[in-house]
Amino acid sequence: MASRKKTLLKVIILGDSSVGKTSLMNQYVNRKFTNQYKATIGADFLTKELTVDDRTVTMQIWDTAGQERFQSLGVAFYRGADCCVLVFDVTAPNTFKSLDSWRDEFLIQASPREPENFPFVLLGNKVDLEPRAISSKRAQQWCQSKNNIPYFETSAKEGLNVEQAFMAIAKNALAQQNSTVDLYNEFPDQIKLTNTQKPSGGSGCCQ
Amino acid sequence: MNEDDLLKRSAEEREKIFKRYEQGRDGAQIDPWEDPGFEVYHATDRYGFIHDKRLPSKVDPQETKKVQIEIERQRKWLKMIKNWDSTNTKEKLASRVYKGIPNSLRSDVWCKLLQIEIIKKENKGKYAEMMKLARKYSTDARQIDSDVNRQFREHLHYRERYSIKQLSLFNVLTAYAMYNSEVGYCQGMSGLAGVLLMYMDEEDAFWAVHVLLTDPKYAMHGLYKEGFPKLTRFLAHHDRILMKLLPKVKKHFDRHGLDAILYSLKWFFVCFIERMERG
Repeated sequence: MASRKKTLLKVIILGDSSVGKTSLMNQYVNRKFTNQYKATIGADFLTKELTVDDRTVTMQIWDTAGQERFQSLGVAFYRGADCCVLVFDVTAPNTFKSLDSWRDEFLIQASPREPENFPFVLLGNKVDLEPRAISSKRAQQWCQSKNNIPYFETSAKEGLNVEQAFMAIAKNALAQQNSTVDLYNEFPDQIKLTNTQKPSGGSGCCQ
Repeated sequence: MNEDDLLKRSAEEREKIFKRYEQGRDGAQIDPWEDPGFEVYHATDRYGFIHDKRLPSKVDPQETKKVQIEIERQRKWLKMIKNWDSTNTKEKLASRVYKGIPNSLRSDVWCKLLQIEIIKKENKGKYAEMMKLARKYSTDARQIDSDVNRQFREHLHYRERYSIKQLSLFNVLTAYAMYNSEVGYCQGMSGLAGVLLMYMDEEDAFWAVHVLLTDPKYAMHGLYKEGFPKLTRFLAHHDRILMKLLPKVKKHFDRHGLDAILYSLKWFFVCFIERMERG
């Protein structure tokens, strides 16, 4: 791309309460894990600079509240997202079941240009814990049914796979942004809605 | 899985969660990382919050001045509490509240302002009844449990998993979700009840939450219930005020897509908890 503008990627993390959304974000950005995280009210964000395919980009990671009723506040937070990260807890089956609802609600509220191609990434978190309730296979099947969403198994506590997952998230977000920019570029000239341009005789359709 | 199985599983889960709180710290299975390792005596401030670093050994002169002013205020407040129904109190109360209620008198004053004694007398036994109902039927136990586990863990009383204060917070929230079933439990309420419990016992805190939600003066009910109608109104109102008084700021925010909810949610929703000092 010719643009020298600084690239900002907006990423939204969604999923049920206590699956580890805040912990994943903090493990990735600050490389630490504590039990001191508070329940997220509304949303918070952190930013991190990273290099993707030789380009420096700033990733703005939005962490959201997990309680279901907060979904109705989504619009303000989801606007302009380049990638949506869905998180569930591999030891809690109910958090896996909610994934459909989080995905659907995101698509409704963020209303991306091409919903079927909007990038999602799925993270199965807390793989350090036993007993496991959702197998890798089951999660992968869900991903396949949703147009091949990339899937990572992570532990925010141990820092397992977190870096790799967020790199994939960044790549997908960047690809999404490039495709939308290309879409804009397909219009060679701006359409001006002012009356400074005189209609060039006879060629207009409205005359 | 059919309906009956789901109900059975959620009943089992509720039973497990309640049992853990009833048992307290004795015999509970607590991962070592679940309890923070703070040096309690070196780093606890006067509100009970524990800080990562030691407090400075030299007292900040500004802090000394603040404490002195507070002692002075305390004297005035004690006089006022004695003559609570006098005209003098009525005249001065509001301006003195704005200056700050002295920490040592918050328990008394908050109970008086919210008229806890009256509502408690009118509803004898209600709190115990709601706790019993919650024990049997609560559908919010899981969410409340996970929020109690995360609320004010840097505070002396909430620091330890399944401590007495954590039990109180769990009780108040599960009982209240039964009592006010339209709101149930909404994230954010654990912060509200958590602060009240730093100054009140369980039953008082339960009624304080109720007054804050339902008394027309505070009416926080609409903030927390499904759809957040009052929050939406507050945000719209905030936008209008900003447009009127600081139009350039408002336009700048709009240009960058900075919606008011991104910065002001906690002002309205949890009375500035985590947004302001407790002093």
